[in-house]
Amino acid sequence: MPLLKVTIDTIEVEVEAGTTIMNAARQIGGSVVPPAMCYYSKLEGSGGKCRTCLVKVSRSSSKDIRPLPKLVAACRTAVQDGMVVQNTTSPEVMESRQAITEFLLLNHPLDCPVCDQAGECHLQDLSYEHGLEDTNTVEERRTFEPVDIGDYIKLHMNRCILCYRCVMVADQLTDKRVHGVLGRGDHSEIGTHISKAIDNDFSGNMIDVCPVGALTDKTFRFKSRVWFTKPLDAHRECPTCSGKTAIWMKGSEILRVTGRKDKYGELEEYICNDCRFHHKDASDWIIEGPRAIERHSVISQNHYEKLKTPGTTEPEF
Amino acid sequence: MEQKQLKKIDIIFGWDDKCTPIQVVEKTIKKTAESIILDMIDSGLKGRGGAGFPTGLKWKFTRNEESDVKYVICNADEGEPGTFKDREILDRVPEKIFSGMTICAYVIGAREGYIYIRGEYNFMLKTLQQKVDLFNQQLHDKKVDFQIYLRSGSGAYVCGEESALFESMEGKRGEPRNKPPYPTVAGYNSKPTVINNVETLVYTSEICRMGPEQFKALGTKDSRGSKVFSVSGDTPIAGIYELELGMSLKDFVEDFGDGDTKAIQVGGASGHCVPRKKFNDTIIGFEGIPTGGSMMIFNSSRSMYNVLHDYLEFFTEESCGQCTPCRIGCQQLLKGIEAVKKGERPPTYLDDLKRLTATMKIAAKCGLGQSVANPFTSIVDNFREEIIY
Amino acid sequence: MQMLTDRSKVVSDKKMTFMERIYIPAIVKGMFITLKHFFGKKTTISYPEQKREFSKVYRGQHVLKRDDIGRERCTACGLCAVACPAEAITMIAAERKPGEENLYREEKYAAVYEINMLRCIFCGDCEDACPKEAIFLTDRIVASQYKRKPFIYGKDMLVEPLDPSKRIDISARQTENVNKFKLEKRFAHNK
Repeated sequence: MPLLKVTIDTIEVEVEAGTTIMNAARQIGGSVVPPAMCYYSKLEGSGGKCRTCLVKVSRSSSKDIRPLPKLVAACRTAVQDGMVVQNTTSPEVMESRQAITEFLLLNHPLDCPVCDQAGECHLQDLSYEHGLEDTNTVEERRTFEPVDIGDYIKLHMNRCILCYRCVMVADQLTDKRVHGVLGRGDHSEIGTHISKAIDNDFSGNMIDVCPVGALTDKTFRFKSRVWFTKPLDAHRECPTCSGKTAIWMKGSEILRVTGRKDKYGELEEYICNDCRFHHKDASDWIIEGPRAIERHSVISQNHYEKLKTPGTTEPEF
Repeated sequence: MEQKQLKKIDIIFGWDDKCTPIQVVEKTIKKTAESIILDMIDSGLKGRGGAGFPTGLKWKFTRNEESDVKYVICNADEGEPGTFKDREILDRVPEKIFSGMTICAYVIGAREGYIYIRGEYNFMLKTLQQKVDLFNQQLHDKKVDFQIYLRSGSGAYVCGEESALFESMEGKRGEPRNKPPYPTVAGYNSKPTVINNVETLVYTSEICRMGPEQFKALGTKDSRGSKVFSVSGDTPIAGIYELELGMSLKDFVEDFGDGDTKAIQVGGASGHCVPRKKFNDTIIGFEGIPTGGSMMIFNSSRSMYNVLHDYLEFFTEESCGQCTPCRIGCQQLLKGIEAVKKGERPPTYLDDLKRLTATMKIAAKCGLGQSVANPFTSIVDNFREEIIY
Repeated sequence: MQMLTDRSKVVSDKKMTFMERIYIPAIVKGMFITLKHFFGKKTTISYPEQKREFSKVYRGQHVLKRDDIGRERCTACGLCAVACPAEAITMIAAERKPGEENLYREEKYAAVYEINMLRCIFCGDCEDACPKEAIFLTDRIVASQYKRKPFIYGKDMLVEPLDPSKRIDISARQTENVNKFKLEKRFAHNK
């Protein structure tokens, strides 16, 4: 198969046929990658819902030099040979992204100080980069009471942005999905049918794929802010999953176990509930070393282990 | 009757005893598929659901797809407020729909056809099923390898969107899919599918019966043929009328208005609202305002704020909730105009709301979210004072 | 060499005169300067009987405020701790139980909140970082102690009294902008 040549924000890249604009941009990396709130490369059929990744195609292909009439979702549109895509260089794209961020925040509560996701929340990142400083709206947000779904997961429907990722994880990872999107239009919400509990060996992955704090770990609930914990790569022998996890420690205590996430916030491997919820003792794990956290992340605040210690000042004899 | 000036057309509901729908099928399938497609393209028939995609091209694309299984689907999920033409067609001349579907199936190479009827029309399922069975039997007798099945929706407006309709038929939540792929490539069960409006299929059958010339003679260059209109609102003669395309709204109002017409909502809730001063230079058709057939007439006793409020309530309720701009945008527009009406927000807030609709228009995933901007901007622009005071 | 300033003097080692060598005039001159200060204005005050007037924005001992109906405002978000350059603040959060709604404003609260006053440099960054208007620096002075331990102030020292008459007044620190911000409905928390 010949490689297709795509230009994204004036940077040229060669990708295989069938690659989406999003994945082509991820091959370039850096600021040309459009943000994704609903797309998850490991979930089949995800994407196309949140509309934050919209980009402008200013040339459809080398055969058809006309631009596409509308902005397209980068996560769902396959590239064509000779396609020219504008992401951050198009004011129209940036404007619509700002508007989408505003939309997403209309119903999202300002409870980051309470929310356990703060610090690793994709919506925080998105609004930091694309949000307005001020808000124009005064209307009441829609509110729900937090509910327990299963023994380990708490659902805060207030915070949900309906990305459908958790539904897809349940669909594609487990045999029987017991939760889904209920209702339609402005009533749509994530819920279980007649408050059924979610108990499945892999249900905990819903927490990791949630881009916001709608699904949170009950065993970590309010234990600590993310930036006071130290992430370490660790593994253990696990009969159900690969056992490769990230453990989040405070002192010698393991506060939380999650899957390992790549730089786009996507899990490298799904882990089982046994690893996630039942092994909070440091002796259960073989620690590989500290996880690399981006320097700009709040999680790297006050962590000095990466700093070089200055050389000794004593004169040598 | 007052409709003396109207050019009376009776293509859809007319019945020719010498050439019944099943005979049309018999006659047509003797021709080659290519020549039928050429006839369709030649007739200039465009989809009657509102979007106006040329029917011949749609059939051609699907025919060119390589697949062992293909489908023909008749979209009878007529959910647009103010539209009731399909119900009448299904009630009076369903055989013409079946015949159109069979011809289409012959052209693209499908062996199964489905009619997706909106949940609210379930009362006619029983009689319709009898007619379908009869037609299937006739097809079987004539050794035509095609069968028609009925499918019933559950009352979601968004399922009228073609890809949401497929999802619904597959037993999933009715939500529009990402496009591309288009239905001609991957539709129902991810197989190439032709999905046409009820009225379009009837016209295809009729074009095969009478030839493309007679159809082409009607209408204008961009909008060939005639169209069934559902006329409702402040009119003495509400009902269903088959009219030639390309007429101006002024002529329309003269025939149907009650003399005090303030505005006409062309194309249902998702269409445009045309005020009196623009009647003269608005043409009903693809070159002017395309319509799915709904014409709602408002006289000066109506508050356009209430009209807009009802539309927005409808969209807020009927949005599938999948994509952000539509789910939250509709809700915000509704709250916004309520706040302006109550005086909680200044009138300039309407401009902010218009900015939101502009975003919805470019960012929403399917036609529902994209078209909310149409009634909103057209009503706010033309009847701003009614919303503020 | 060109000098960079004109404040330098050339040092000379010339021999002192007789008058200079007996030192008495110099001693008298020095004594006179000392004596002069007996009659001038005093620069010290006798604390704690007397207290100085503080600037309105003096940064002294912290207070954790309660809201108008006596609920603790702090929700243990940890932003003060992460903003603190001296790493003086630590906290442990807990979940509010049903029935405690009159004690804590949010569903999460600080079960333990400690400031190490020996580490604190009173920069006021915690106050800037606080999204809930919970922590403020006041014009109170941190009392001296004989041991290190009592300098770690817990919630008993930091949270203001429930009694409305004994609340700590921080109105001087709340600028017009802050008050306006609080009044606006659109900035209301958790709606």
